[in-house]
Amino acid sequence: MRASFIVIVFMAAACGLACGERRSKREQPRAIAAGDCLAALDDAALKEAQRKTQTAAPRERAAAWVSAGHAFVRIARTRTQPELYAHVQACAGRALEAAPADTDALHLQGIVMMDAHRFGEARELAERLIALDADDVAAWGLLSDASLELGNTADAVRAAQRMLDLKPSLLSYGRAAHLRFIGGDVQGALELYSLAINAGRHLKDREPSAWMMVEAAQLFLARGDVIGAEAGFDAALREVPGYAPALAGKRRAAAVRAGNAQAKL
Amino acid sequence: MKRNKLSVLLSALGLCAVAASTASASSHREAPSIANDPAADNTDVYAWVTPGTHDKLYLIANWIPLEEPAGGPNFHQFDENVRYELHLARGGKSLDDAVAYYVYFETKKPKRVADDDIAFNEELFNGIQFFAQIATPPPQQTYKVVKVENGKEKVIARDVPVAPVNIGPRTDAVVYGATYDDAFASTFIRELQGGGRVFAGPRDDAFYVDLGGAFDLANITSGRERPTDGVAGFNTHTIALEIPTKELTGTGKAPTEGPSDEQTLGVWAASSRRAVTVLRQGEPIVFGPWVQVSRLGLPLINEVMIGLQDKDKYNRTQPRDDLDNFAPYFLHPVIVRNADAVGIYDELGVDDATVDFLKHGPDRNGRFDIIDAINIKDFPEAGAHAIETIGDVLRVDLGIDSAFPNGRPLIDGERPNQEQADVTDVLLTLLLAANTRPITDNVNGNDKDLLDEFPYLALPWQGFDEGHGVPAP
Repeated sequence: MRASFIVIVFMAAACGLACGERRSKREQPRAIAAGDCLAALDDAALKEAQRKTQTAAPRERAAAWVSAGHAFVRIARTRTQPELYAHVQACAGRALEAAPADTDALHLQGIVMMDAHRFGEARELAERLIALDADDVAAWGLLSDASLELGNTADAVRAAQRMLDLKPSLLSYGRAAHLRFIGGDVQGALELYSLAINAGRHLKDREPSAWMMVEAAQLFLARGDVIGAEAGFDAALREVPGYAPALAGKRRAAAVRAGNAQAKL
Repeated sequence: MKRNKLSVLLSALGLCAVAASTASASSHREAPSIANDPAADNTDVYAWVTPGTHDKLYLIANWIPLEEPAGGPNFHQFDENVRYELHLARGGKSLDDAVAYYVYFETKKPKRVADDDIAFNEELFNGIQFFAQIATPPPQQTYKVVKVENGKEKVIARDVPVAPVNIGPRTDAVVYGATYDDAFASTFIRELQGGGRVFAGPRDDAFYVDLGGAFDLANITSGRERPTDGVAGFNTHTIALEIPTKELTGTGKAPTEGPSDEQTLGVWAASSRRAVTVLRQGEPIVFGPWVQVSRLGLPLINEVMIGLQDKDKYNRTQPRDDLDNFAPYFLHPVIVRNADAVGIYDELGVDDATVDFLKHGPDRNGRFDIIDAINIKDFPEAGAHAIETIGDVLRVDLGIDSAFPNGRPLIDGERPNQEQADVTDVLLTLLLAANTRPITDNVNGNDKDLLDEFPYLALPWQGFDEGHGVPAP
């Protein structure tokens, strides 16, 4: 499946990007190949989104590509298939071709930049979006993420605080929790993970909640609470069966448990 | 010695684990990607006065869209971190709250069973269960209702049980000790201090609309072969209030008969979550102010009038600022441009001048006919109201019988499965045709009959045999 997927990615036609950055050919966004890849992924929402990219009226086309892009992000995260971000990049590119200033398309582009570790560009994009709309919740999230990766924790905190003040949600609680952890406030981080998990309770897409559970479980593990950590990883696995970050967490917890047993001898 | 060794090892492992998390933090992965917030998502608001007597106002608001009845084991419930709100402005000159009702929920936490008792514990209602309905004794959720008036908060109901989820006959027998019927559901109705009643819990979603057609770019006029009620068979979570109208007139007296701006309410529902301080400076205070994350007044305004790029803004702002924030959406409805773009007006034979009028109003100054309609200017007769404020609120004149858009009654439909007016058709006809020709989605009734008594919405669909699954082949 992986091999055929790569073939499909390379078969797909290259398309230009509205912001006109120079990149190697391999990095250029590629159009989604319709048939095999979608069949292999077997995801109804993605198929529907892809269908809409073909049938949408011109003015709706950017939105359709953005939906398809988010479907790929969801699948990439849920099934831990980071290679699918090539498709996300393609979708963002097509959306921006259709509507170069489309905010939703630019938000998607921001996700692509973060995945590709183009943190400086992501920060610039976020700042550009915020200059246009100081209340752009997703842009503040992007600015927080990019600032953190660039080592500017103070900016990351400021941006996350702004995001929270605009919209308390799983997304903003989750970012704040991580920043508390980075600042050494593990108990405070766990409180916010709990708020994030609760805020995600009714989401149809279970991955964001599962990810918060994994993050919280990792903190339990860091504190030496193996039982708490395992419960957290198991909870994440109930939300997303086979969820790789949770499985990896369970292995780490098992290693700690084994180490504890050794230590007792 | 052993203990020392253990703690050294643990701290070493702890450090490793921290290092591992930090390593993963150097990628993009710590940030969840995208999510909305169904638990705080308003779906519909209904409000009306008792016909004839006008002595009571019914306020019914729903949250959490499209709940699958069989969606266990963690069935849908109200969120204890959300403040559920009903806001009532009064008069023609202000959209600020005259009265508001805040509802706060609490969820019972399962009792923890000691590790050495898990293997042989035979009891129900504890933390070893995985069926949520037997993890805590009923009621699993309770709530309090707070009335806010003149800046003062007063608790008017507390420790009220939330009606449980309708799971199936075995849960009925084992947990509820009753069949989940109307009589059972009505046991969750409680009196409010100062008069009136309250109910909260899951109910059938009474809205009916061709969601599939509407969201396929308003694909409802081209002779769709099978108009489909996209909300059929789904539940929602309801908060229903019955309030004596004398509590709401501002005079302490019953409303005066006949239309008047002074006793016309502007009703809307909202939900808020708490902001938190990202980094705390050692203080124990975790919470910041409540921040509104969702709101709704009239049906379909948020859905078909406010553009995607402004939906977050719409959800966090108040109706009193709608004119400043969203005037172009109200006065130049995008849906008309969409309808034109996809050929609906060509199909209906509407000429270009009329289409331009529908897009932008006379002399392209805006569709003030929409404002007049939602401000009930000509209800019940021409010029009956002269409300000056503009915002997404459901107007209800306490002095006259309610009929949409003056209120939105769940009673007095032509058939028992219809609310008083088919609000989808009324609004599509207003927006798309300025009431010159009927526009319909051809979905004309709910899939359950409404009740003729409080809380009016029908029983929730049962998970056991009324979910959306199909019998196995």
